[in-house]
Amino acid sequence: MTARVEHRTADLATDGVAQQVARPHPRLDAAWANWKGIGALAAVNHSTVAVRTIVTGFAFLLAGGVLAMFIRLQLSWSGADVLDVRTYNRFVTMHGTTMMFLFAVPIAEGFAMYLLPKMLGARDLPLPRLSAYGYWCYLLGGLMLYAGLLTGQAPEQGWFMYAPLSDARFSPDKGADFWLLGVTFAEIAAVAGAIEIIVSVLKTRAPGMTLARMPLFAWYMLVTAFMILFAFPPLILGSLLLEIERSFGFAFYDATRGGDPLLWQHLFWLFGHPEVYIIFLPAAGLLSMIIPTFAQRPMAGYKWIVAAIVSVGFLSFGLWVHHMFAVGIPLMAAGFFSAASMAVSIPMGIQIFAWLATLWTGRPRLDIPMLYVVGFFFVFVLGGLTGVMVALVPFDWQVHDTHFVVAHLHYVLIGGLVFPLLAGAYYWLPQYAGRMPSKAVGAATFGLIFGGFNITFLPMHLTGLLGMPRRVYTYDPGLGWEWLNVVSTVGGFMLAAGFVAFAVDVALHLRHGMRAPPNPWRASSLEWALAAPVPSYNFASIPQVDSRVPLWDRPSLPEEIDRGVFYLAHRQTDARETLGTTLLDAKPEHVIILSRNSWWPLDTALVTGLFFLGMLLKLWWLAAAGAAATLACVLAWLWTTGDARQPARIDAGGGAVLPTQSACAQAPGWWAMVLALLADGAWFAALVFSYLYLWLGASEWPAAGSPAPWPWIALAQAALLGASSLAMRAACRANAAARDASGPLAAALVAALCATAWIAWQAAASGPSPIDHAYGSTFQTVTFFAVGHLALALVGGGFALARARHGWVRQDRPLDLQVAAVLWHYAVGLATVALALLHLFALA
Amino acid sequence: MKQASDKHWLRPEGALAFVAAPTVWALHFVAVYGLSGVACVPPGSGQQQAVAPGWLTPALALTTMAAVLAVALLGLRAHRSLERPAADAVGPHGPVDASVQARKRTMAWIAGATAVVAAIAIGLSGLAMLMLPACER
Repeated sequence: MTARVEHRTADLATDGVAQQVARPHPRLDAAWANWKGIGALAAVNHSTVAVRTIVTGFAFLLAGGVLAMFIRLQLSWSGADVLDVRTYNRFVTMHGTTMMFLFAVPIAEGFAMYLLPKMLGARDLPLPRLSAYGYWCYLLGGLMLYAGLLTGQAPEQGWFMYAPLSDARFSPDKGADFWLLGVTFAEIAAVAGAIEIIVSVLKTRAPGMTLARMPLFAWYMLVTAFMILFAFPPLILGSLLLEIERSFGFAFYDATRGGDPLLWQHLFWLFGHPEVYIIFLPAAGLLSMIIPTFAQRPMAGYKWIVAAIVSVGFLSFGLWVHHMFAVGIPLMAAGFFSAASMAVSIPMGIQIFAWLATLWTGRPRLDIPMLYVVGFFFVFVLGGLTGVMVALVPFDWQVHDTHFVVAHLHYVLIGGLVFPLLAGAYYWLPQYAGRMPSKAVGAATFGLIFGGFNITFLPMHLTGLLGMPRRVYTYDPGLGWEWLNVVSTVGGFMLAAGFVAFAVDVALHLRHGMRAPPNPWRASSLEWALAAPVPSYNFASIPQVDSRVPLWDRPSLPEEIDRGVFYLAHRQTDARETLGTTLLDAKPEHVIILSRNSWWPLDTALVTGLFFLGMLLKLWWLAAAGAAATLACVLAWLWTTGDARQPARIDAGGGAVLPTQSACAQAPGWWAMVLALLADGAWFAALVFSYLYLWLGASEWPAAGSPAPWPWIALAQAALLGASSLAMRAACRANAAARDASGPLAAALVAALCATAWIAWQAAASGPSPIDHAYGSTFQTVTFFAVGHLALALVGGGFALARARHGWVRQDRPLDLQVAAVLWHYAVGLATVALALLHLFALA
Repeated sequence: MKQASDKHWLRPEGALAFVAAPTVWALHFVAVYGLSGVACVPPGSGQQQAVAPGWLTPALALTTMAAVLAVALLGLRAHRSLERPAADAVGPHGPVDASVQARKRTMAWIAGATAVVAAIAIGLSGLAMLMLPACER
């Protein structure tokens, strides 16, 4: 540790500019240090977890890229024999799956987890163990997917896993199971990361950083994270339903039993189209930080851009059917999606013009990051324009499932994500590593990537227009496609060489790059106030921010932060602390005492993995044990939160004596629960949509021979649940009035336990068979959903009761009870809606 | 410490105002898509109809007019909020500092801009209703 501090504090003269001199902060260094050796796996610090995520994402990019090279070799000439048809299908499936699920979203969230606390003026993310758990789920889920490839059981149905091809009749082997379970496992990370990002942006901004002063990257990530919360649950639900159909014989997508394979497409693309923007928006956020720096002026049209981001966040959810124009949608319905596809180009155009205006009115410098920005403009705008073309239904019918679409999606995704990511990597590496990139090597790498990309994908527009279909492993000679495919293959290898060159460049950079001066690009945002390499606690004191461009308006800020002028500078504690602020205006609100190194994230992820492994191997006892162990680990993890020995109020400096999060109404834990329930609500809404979709297409509902619904019993069950909610409310009021909350809490538990058991028993004893018809399948699934949520709420309520018994829930520490109450009321509401859907709606 | 403005999330300068108009667009989108779905596949029939029932056109028109009206009101509200900055400079607990004032104006401006985009998107959906047959494939 001493050596590290000495390294940071060294006065390094480079190019005539003195390296920023940082004071030693041994107490902060000790509090925030990761454990050494094997203990490093217990690290929860955001920089460590984020760098692991980024490196893992890049490794998956390389793996997916290797698969792409095989695909290009196979297609390079008609009748090529590099891959047989099954291997080709597996490689295509794994390439798409890897790039979308294991590279694009995780690496974007990795950048956000690394940068956001530094940009916002926080010492860490507010829920560090959650992001660490997410990382392990991502890694294990990705490894599970690749285990399928390595054991010869990789999925081969395409990255979209369309039913009925993916159901048990047509895909009896385990390939589809590997996909469904591996992707779902990895998606836990995306949702966990989204919660972490939202709470971070809303609650841990530096004092003074109102929403109107927030860096644009934070706006982009805020909207992206909300999109993840709403977009991923439909896919998770669709995957769950397909896995249930494959494993237990339910009928959701089987048309012979009242199911509908198009339901899968709806659920998949309800995720799949917003996913494009979930991938693009973080990258656009990176650009919105890089471009003003190199133009040396504030971003033009800040408000326009925020309005555009919010608009994209919404409109992108109205585009999903434009992937389904060829399935037989009525013309007017297709027109709605075509209209939304056109409308989204307006906010997208606003962003492009705002970036151009910033460069136009600034004094742009061309350095390595800007090369990639220029590359982005060229590639992404082309992809956007072909996107408007395929949004037109008649044109889409012409090019549907051809290589034109392959070209379009790669121009959008590589242009919209990879070029900005590479720009971001070169831009922030000097801060991470304290060293500057080599201009010569960086420019040569850019040339390979930019040239290779366009040589690969530009010809595909032509091969597509000439009629070459996607997803075929070979083609006949004489169709005019050969030379175009040869060119694409040559370009593909050039692109691959570019990525290898990038990896080499980064390695050289980290080891041999010239020492970076402080703030080498003369940027305006807070992360450049930190020493390089960045200390693990980020800020010695949490700054006060008075501007959108704090470093340009107050150049002394880095020195003042380091000198401890601001908040939490002089705390004599070994706890990890950061500041919680109000949502709109970032006024100091509370002190967040963060988790230190912990094994719980890794342990919990490992037992979660046992659940998925049990599901994959059809070892139900293992799956049940994994689920039970996961719940036990989560409870043990939660038991260690909110240290009761910590004082309820802390002197944060600057005259602010603030409560700790256990004593604060809007603590990160409460926000995390609310956001998790928002995602869960989207999950449930997708299930209700599935029920209604199958109802709409059915000739009779309930199915013939099914038992009739029981509305009066359902009303009684709902009333009992409502009574439990009232008792929970009484418990919260009792605690707020410093009375014992145990009595009403116990009453709530008893009432809900009775209602839950009643609902489960009634459905099992008198409900329709889940195997015969989609009606019974959806009935039992919705019931299971409601019962499962009530069971979780019971566990949460029991947890709060236990905490109250141990003195951790008191009038001045209401957080545990508040969080349990939110979960409780939500579960009761969800179960009531489920009962109404199954018994009142179906009867009507 | 809790901000008074935090309690009024739906004010033009509040935390949720700038998502109000896009939410109206989303509700309109779900409504018109759902209505056309129910019209073209009547519940219980299990069959796609070639001709839409007579109630569909007025239902779509009413839904669209209601959505346009709601978005217009939201936009107008945001515009009015931008026109009276001085009145907000003094809050219920005394003077409001400049950063809060600037934040409120920014949020109101964004709320107005998202209302314009939402109005255009709803209008484009309306064009699809005017130009295309409802149930024909």
